[in-house]
Amino acid sequence: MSSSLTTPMTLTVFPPLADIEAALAAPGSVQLEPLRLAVLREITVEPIDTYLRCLARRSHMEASVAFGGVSRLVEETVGGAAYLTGDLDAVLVFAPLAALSPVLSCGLAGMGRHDLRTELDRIETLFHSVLAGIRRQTDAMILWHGLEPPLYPTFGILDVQRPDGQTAAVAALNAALRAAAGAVAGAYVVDMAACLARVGGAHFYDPRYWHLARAPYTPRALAEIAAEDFRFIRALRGKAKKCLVLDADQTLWGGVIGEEGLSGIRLGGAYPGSAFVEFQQEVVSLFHRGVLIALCSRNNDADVWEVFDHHPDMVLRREHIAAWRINWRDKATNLRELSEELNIGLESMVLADDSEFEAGLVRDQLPDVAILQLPAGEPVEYRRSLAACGHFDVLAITDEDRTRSTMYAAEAARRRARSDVVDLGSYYRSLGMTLEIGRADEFSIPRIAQLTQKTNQFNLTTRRYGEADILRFVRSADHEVLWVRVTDRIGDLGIVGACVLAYAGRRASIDTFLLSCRALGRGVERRFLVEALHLSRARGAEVVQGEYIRTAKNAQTETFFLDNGFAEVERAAGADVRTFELQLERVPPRELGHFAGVSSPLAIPVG
Amino acid sequence: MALDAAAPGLPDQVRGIVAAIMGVGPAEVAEDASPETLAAWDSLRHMKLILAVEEAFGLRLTDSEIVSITDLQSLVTLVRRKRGGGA
Repeated sequence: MSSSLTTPMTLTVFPPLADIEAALAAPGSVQLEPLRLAVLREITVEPIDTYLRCLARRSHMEASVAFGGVSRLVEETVGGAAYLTGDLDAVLVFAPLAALSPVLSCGLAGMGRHDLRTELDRIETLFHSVLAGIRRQTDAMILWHGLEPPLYPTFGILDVQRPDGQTAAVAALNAALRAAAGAVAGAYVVDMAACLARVGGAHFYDPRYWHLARAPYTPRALAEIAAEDFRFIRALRGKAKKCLVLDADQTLWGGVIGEEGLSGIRLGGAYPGSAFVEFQQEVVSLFHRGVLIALCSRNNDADVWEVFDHHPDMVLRREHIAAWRINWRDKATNLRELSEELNIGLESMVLADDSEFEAGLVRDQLPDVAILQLPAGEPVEYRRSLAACGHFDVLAITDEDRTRSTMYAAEAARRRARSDVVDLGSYYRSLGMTLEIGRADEFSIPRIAQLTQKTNQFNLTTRRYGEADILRFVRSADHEVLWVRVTDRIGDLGIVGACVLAYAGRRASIDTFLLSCRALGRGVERRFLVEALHLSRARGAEVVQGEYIRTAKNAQTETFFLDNGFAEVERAAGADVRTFELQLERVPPRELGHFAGVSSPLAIPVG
Repeated sequence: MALDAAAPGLPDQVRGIVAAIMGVGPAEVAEDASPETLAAWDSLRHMKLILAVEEAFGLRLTDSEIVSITDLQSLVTLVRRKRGGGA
């Protein structure tokens, strides 16, 4: 793959347009997943497709971008458009103030309060009708680019003081847009104010092309906007990272603990120690967003923990750390071990390191691990590097994310329990696990969509769904969406698995069956499957079909259906797509097994 | 990355950009290439081409200069003049 398309340190650094186009024309060296985007707009934004395709390629996707007609937003959404009815992953909506409402953009000073109110109401209605129009045609994720605050508001310095100023009008419209998008599953507002602020007004707008071609934004602005869009797209496609692995010396504090000792390292107080505190605060924020934090450092174990336990200015604490490798071995080996211990793929990990040498070594040996190269010698830039990297963006922060810390601490306790017992059966029983199986509802839909986006290893078909897709299944008479929740005597693991069943006559097929890695190795997947099979039988199905679609990550599920009594009926694409069937008269009985309790929508209790 | 406009290959550099933006091989871009002779040269790619040329040569064209660009020749001439390379 050409170097123009590899991921640089910062998401928004791009080569010149012509170089990107030339690199994109060359065939990619790796298998690319298709990504289908549509752009609905009141304005010209065409050059954005170069950046969108470049970002897609950096995430191993091949993007196709269909553009709707300029100024035909309402017509194509409310009225309908052919390109919205095909297979789409995301719809991008561009409707800036100047296009949406020339009068609010340029003529607000002459408007009376009544006219202002009427105009705001008109646009709010437009938001709702356009969103509904899109949703009627497609379940794709909707990314609506919000309104930028005016650079020079209508009433000058007084504008921000006035409830009827342009600043207030834009804020009101953005609030209305947020509410409208919040009411449509899978619709999100893209923060254009943040994009504008990062680029700066002088570099964001191009008045020449606004007047020549109704194209308001500069290439630099479009690059920033495309990068922001891709934070959503990567999250949707299961490419969000789950774990941040940190170096210690020169990353968490200045200096080398092994040489300079607890009082010698720079941490806390004034410069430069203040920069490391700020970086650690950013790391702890990620922890609270559900990101796993791990340490990987060339050091003596005891030296590093001495800082954690005894340095008064450490913000990051032992309880934030999910796993660690503090030793003198090479980073690649350590990272491999961390990925196994945490049960996540290398492609879900980000290594933050100030050493170009270490980073280069890992990049060579483990190309799947993303590298956040911290600018060596410039700790004041660390925090921004981490905040800007965009690796950890997800589409929803669920309760499961917020309590993940507790769950990993509990997992450590479980590992200790496991070493106390001899056979697996008695270990399972010692956990006192209960399963709760239920049908998807408004509370579980975000988590189920998230599971389809994030689960790679125990995932039979790896179909990624947005909230709107799951909602469509829930509302459809031919589908059933199930979730499983696991609780044990140590803690609540939350919703850890999902299953989508599709019905056609007497046949049921398993569209999706997955289990989060956090619940693997407990027999949950098998019991969940049995319950799903009984539920489909109760609905009248006689045969269930299961499918295995091979990916680079899901080899462990290849024999799952065979192991559970299904027979193989078809192989396609080599053996990459395998189809299995089970006559439901042969479904295994519902048993408690090693679980302390199992509940499900089936009326008859188990055991 | 600004290209060196004084280099003898300026017309070829511009041609390379035209080829990349239009998605064709450099050989397909004739010396007299224009929207009339090149099917891919539509109004939107035309805009992208000018943005790419500005970016590559570190130039900023005025709106009247932009509308004066009608083909490869006029583009090359303008870039040369803006870079002080004479007509």
